[in-house]
Amino acid sequence: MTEKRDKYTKYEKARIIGARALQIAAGAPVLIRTEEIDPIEIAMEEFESGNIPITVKRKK
Amino acid sequence: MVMQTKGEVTKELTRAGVEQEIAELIGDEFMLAELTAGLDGLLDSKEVEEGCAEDIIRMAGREEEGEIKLGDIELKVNESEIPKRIKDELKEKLRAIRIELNNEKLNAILNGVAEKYNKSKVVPREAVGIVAAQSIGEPGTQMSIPFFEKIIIKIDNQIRIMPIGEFVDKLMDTYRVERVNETEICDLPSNVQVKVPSLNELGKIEWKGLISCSRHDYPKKLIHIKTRSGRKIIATDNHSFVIRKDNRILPISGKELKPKDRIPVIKNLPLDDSLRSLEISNYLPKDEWWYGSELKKALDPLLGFSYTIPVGPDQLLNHIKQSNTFEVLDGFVYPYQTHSMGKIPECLKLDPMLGWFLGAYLSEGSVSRYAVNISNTDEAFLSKEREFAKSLNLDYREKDNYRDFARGHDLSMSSRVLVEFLERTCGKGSKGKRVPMFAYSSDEAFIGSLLRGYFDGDGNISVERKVIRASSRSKELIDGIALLLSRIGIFARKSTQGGEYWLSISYRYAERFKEKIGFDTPEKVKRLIELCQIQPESSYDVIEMIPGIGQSLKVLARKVGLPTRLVNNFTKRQRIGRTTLERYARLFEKEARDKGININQELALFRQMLEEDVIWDEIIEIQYAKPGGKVYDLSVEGLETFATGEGVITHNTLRTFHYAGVGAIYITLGLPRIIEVVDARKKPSTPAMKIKLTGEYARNRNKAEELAREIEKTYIRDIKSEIYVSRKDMSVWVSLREKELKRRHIEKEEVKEKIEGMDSDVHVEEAEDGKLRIQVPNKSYQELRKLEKEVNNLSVKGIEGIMRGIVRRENEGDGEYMLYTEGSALKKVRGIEGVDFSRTTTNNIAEIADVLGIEAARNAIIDEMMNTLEEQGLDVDVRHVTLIADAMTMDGEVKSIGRHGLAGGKVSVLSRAAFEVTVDNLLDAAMYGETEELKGVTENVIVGQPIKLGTGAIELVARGGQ
Repeated sequence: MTEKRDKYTKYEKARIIGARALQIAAGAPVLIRTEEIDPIEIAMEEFESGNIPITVKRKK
Repeated sequence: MVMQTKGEVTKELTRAGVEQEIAELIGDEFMLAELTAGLDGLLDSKEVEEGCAEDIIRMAGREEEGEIKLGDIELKVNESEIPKRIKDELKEKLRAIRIELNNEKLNAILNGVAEKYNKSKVVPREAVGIVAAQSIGEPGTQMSIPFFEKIIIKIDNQIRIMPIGEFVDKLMDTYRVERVNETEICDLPSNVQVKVPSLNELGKIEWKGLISCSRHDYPKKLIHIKTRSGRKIIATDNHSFVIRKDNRILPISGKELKPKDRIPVIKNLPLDDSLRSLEISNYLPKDEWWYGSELKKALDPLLGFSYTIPVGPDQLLNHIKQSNTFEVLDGFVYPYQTHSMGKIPECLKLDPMLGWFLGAYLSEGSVSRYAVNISNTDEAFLSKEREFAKSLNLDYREKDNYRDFARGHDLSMSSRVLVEFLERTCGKGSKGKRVPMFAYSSDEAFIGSLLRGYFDGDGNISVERKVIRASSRSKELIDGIALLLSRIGIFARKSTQGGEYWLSISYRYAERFKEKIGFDTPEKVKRLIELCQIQPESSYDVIEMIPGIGQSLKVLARKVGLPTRLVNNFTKRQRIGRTTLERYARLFEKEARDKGININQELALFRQMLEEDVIWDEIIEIQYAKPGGKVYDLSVEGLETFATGEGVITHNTLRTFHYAGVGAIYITLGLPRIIEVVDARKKPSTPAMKIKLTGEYARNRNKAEELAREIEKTYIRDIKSEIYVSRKDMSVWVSLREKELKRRHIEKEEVKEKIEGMDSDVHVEEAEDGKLRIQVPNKSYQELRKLEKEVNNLSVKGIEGIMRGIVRRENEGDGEYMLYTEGSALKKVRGIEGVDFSRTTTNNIAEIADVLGIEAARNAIIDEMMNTLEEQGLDVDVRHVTLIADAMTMDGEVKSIGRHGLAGGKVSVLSRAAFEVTVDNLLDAAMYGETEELKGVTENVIVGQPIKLGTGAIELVARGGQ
């Protein structure tokens, strides 16, 4: 099982942000300080700052 | 190097020389190095070979302001929105004129071309498929007209009207006829020039050459079309006609025509070279009438020994003895019996005087054995008659008559010769008169005066009804007058009433009538002037409508800023009256001028519409007529239309693929062809090959023809005249047609051998009468009958599968010869001498896959589809087609797209079920215990999961840390 770290494809990015936004919208604790109120925006900020606890598992 | 500066161009250039020259001109070493680098390519290119020294210097050296480089052209053309096939040609042309281009001009050219292309593109939703679908021709789907329908043809500059059947039958008796299934086709040899009036896209009539004609039996029904102007045409129901739609002139099948559609009828028939004079000997033979010139030859042996006179040599002596009572002048024609007066010149000039006289005769004339009598009471008319008589030195007598209800006046001219001439050219009697054939080919002045004489006699003008009318009991005469009127651009309406045939000319043509024809009778002259003064503004002419105007009026109205509701009516009904259109054209022009808008293009279109040589005649009735007899068709070059005797324009063949001009081979086009390719059909419905030839065969037409005969499949049944079993000697007799054997280059020996080759104990011998006797020992009668059938179907020559071969040249007069065949047999033609296999192609994809491999098949699929699409005017990028071709051939064989191939080969059950035959697929899957892995798109959509592509291709996991 290898984790991807360097660069995500646009699909991966979209997926990650989407999944995180879902979690946030369902009430999960937010991992950064932000002024935003929209779950997607919050998730995007988390992503930019590298603070999302989700990553992609590369298929073998 | 031999190179003079400026002005002189030589062919001999060396690189060093050019460099030196440039160096001198620019004197800059650095620049020189750069330039010479660029010269490399140039010097090798064609430019150098052509010797354009000047060019090179200019190109490489001083780059003038905005001059275009080759690379620029390439780039700009590629960028523009022009389809590929035009791009290549355009690039070539631009390269050739590159010197004169600059950025501005180049852009203008590219824009112009792109615009023109877009304009001519098929509009979305136009039923391209339907026109294409009808082109699946079984070669027997002939579009034809029956025997008696007259057509207009021109032979040696003489216009003739004759029934098409008569014309084609005569051609087929004279020239070679080919049989294709049920149809007989005769290609006209190139030295025979027959022309027909043809309608071009601008609505103008052009005389185009006839390429071939055909005939066949037609068991189905015929349609009988009647138009509002009184014209009729009878044709098979898939005969193609021509209509106007969206400002284009398009073919349409007779089946699709309905009342209210408008078909073109000739309004103006042009003729370049007209007939000036007439040789009487064409009508009155020299062995029945005295010709002064012939007598002169008889009397003076110095003038030649051969002469034709109506008497024998002994009687000639008698005549000479009586020379003081009988004088035959040179250059005149005399009757056989009575001499002296009544002679007419051997060569009659077709001048207005004669024309008028003929017209007068047609209207009010009659003949007795020795005199021509024309009755009229009008003094102007009579004085013209007298003038004519005097011009020919004819005796005439005048007297009043009380035949009819009022007083009439007769003028009789005595001339046996003239009487006979009139009878033969114009006919006699109220039902038998007709316009003489030579009149159609004469000049406008002659025709004008003929019509004048006719209308002065029989015509009448009604100012209240706004028409000029004439009637006759002879239909042929009325038809002829109508056609003559079309020679000077006047359109007449025809009708029938109680045994009388009527002709009426609308007041709208009064001005033209006055100009070209006119009257002598003062009363008629007066009324004609009154007619001319009627204003056409207020009324609307049902016949003179231009149909199929598309959106042009609406677009133009918008452009000049006028409300479109003005023209909505016309756009909705898709027709506009001619005078109305003129009015609107003037209105738009004024508006545009006032507002400074350029509408020259649209106006040009209107001009063109107004100047068409045809009237779009409304169909008022279509009926079915009883079939019977043969039907005929003509193949016309280029425009593919011809005209009937009444001036109705008809199209010859509906979108058959014309191989370099002649509709001889039929190929499936359009949508059906695409379906064939995509379905990976093993055998296309019209297999065809294009065989390129090698060496001598490609250069020499005869050799090419020879090759064509060699590979064309011939069976005994094609060359036999009869085959039967004879009980007497228990053998099969075959007699062959010599003509066919010769035409196909087959020897009787070959036939014999082939038959003997059928079986070891078959024995053939030739009888004295040329028939072949086939004997097989110990055979019963029944077995012999079977043998007869086998022999009938025996192949004698040629390759199995090749039905017909046609030799065609590449470009018009240049280029190599190649062979187009109906039928495909790639493997077999390979070894034939003369065939260049590396350049031969077929449209049978399965065959290509078999013989040349799967990659070749892939390319063939791409070619076939691209050609079909482009041919229909559809611009599809090659990538889409490439994708299909790749998908079809990826497994090493040609798979179809449908449920037997690609779609059906899918592993996923749901995917197959969703495609076709749903229940069967599900049942079978259940039965065999198949598993659905939900890997593809379709099945995931069905179950409602995200697809395994894009965002769905990613598997997320939680990350440790934080």
